[in-house]
Amino acid sequence: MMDDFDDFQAVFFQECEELLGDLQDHLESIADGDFDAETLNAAFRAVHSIKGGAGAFGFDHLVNFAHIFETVMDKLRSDELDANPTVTKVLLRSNDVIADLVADAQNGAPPRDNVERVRLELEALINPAAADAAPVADAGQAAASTPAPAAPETQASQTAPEVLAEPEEEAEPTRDVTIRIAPGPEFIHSGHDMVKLIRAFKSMGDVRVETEGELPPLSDHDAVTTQLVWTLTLNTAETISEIEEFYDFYAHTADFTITDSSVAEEAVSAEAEPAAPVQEETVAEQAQDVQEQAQEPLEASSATVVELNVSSEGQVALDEVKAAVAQADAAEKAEKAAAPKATEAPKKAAASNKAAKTLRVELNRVDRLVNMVGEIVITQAVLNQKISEVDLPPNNQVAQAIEQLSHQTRELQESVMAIRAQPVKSVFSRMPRVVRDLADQLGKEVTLELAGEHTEVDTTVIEELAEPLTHMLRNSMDHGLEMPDAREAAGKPRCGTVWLTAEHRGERVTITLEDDGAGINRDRVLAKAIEKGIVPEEAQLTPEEIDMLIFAPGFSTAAAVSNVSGRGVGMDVVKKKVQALGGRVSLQNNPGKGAKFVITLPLTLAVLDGMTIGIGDERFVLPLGSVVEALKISDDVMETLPSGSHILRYRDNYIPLLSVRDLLGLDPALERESLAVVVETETDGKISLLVDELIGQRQVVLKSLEANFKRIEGISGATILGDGRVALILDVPALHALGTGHNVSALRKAS
Amino acid sequence: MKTVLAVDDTATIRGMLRHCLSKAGHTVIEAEDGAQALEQLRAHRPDIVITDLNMPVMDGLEFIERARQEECGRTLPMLLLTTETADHLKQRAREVRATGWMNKPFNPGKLLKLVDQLT
Repeated sequence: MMDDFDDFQAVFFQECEELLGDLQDHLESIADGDFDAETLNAAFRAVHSIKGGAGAFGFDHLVNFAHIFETVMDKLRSDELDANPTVTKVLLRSNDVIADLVADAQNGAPPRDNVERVRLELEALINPAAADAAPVADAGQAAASTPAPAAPETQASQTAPEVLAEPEEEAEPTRDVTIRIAPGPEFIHSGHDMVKLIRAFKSMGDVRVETEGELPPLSDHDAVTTQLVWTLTLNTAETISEIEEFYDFYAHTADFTITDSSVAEEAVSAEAEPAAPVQEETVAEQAQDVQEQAQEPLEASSATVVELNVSSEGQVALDEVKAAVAQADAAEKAEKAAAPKATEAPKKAAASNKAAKTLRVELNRVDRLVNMVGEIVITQAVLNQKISEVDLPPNNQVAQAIEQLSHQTRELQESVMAIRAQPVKSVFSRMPRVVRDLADQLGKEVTLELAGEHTEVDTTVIEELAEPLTHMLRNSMDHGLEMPDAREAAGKPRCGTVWLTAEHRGERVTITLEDDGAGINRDRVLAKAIEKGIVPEEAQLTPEEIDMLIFAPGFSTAAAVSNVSGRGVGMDVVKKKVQALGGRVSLQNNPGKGAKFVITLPLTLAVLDGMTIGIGDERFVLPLGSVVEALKISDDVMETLPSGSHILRYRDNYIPLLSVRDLLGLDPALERESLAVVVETETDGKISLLVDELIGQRQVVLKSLEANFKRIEGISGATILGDGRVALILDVPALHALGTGHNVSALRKAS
Repeated sequence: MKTVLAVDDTATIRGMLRHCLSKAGHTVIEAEDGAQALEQLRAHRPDIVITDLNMPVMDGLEFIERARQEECGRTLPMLLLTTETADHLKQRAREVRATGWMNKPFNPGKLLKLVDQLT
């Protein structure tokens, strides 16, 4: 049976992941002081559930830790412990440790060193005095004294082989044991049944049953409340304590008195006395163990026909009870059968509705769906194109149907995309952990402020985002934020702050990572870049260009290579990764005050609303969301700067004017472009592009140029138009960078 | 065989209960909390209930208390399967007329024996 448990282990770990996520959220709310009783309960339940599952699989380290964690959470929710900063700090650390333990359990790794340390911290919260008196040396003992729910499981597996070895011990002599059972008034109403109980006793040996007391006439008889006293004579080899353990499970609803015939009467009554507290005990907790013991003799006695040897009046009584029970049973069965199917059916439907709340699907399947929808969008575009080429009368039905089809295609596409959308929270929520670990390691004080965690982005984007984001965060903390003393000297609070925010901007998602550290030291960056041969020594760079050097391959300014920010594979890898996602990284450096990194990403990697433009014979696509307007231009609104770049006067402002033709090296124009398209960019404000014609707007399916051909600066991808032509998708900020040389690769070419 | 209602907010535990009980030929119905369990109880009339104690919406004790008011729950065996061990909770369990108390982690063999014994 254990083999099949592998499947459940997988489910367990999947569930743990969700529980850990919830736990972290709740604990952070608690740490922020923003919580209520339900938050505490939910956090408690998360730990509790992890413990329960872990116990089932025998992850003892995890169980032990979860147990004490849970105890602390329990004290919090019962107000025995106050959620002050000292406590919440330990809770957050415990959250990290329990996440580690889950991961270790999954990988079969031994527990890490910090587990014991944090466990002691938790212990200290439960019992401050003991923790003071009992330093680390007591750790092992403390662990041993922790009630480990996994223990019964271990015992069970140990006893299992003994069951097989049992026949050798079978020679043990049997004797008669008398058990008097007086069911309490709630016996039947607690779900118990005397017939079943007697049957269960039969698993320990032969049973004779007698009853005391009078039964009322059958007509007045209530099988549920009548309390007969039953005396069982059990011929068994089991010890008294084993039998007591067995009925302990029932002891809260019935009085049991046990007499061993092999022992002198006086001695027995003495022994029966201590049995009394057992009877009084609450609901039996060791039912499993009882069952274990019951199981052993079952094998031996199952073949024996057990007769219910009863005295004559008892026989009658038993028959009557049996009849009454049967009657009650039949009534219940009838009631069951009579339950109208009509009410049952909708309830079933409601239940299955609830079950359909979420569905786990392999990403591959969704990707296939997305690809197919992409193809349909293209086909749709072809169809639209063709139909527009045919001269159809107005209100033509084919045209109308196609119009409807395009609406439906769009809806289909949006629904499919929604399947893959996921809040960035799944990535953001990992960051507090990174910050805590790193702050400890670096000896810095850091607060991480998250915002916009609910911003939804395509799943594939999110997965790819974790690594660059972690890297940038580490980078900010390692290079950006100063040591507490240095911060104080600079007139800043000792504790640095890092802000991580996500928001939607049009068709894109912007993720901002900002810190209030020292910013980028331009002198050092430039010196380093020259030393590494990234820029020539005599290069004249603007401050912004110097900042961008940190994204150059092979650049690292850390005086000593630390294991925090990597070995100079840092920011250029970040940039590459983001670019591979169709995104961009930009940087605002404020030396002495901090630095701000902005990542902008497309919402989806698959489909784009585009404006098709024509330059010469070529077709290009601009993301529709970024297009502000198109203008007819004349000489008097254009000006050429001494550097040779052009600007456009646009509503009393000057904005850059780019010639796509020149930047991409297309055939020179026969006559000058007559139109300018004004585009809004996230990083560079408004930029205008010179174009020959506007073709129209349409949905395009993005095909990666990098995957199919190679990366070209200024182009973010390609698509196939309705007429089968390939159009390139323009990346306006990259084009602008290309135009101003505001870009390391362009710079390199120049040098 | 029997119909068992397994109530636990943890899918892992529900899955394990389902696995071990259905292997023995029992039919297993699931519920994620006490409120759902009440609905399932009325809809399916199980032969026995195995319920967790700590659950959102409605916990195991309240569920048992309410189920005992129902016609189909009056004499139904209802076991608590929990990691809790506190005496006051066991006292509560007795008050709401729980049939018995089992501690997690459970041993599949013992659980099956108990189900057979009580149904």
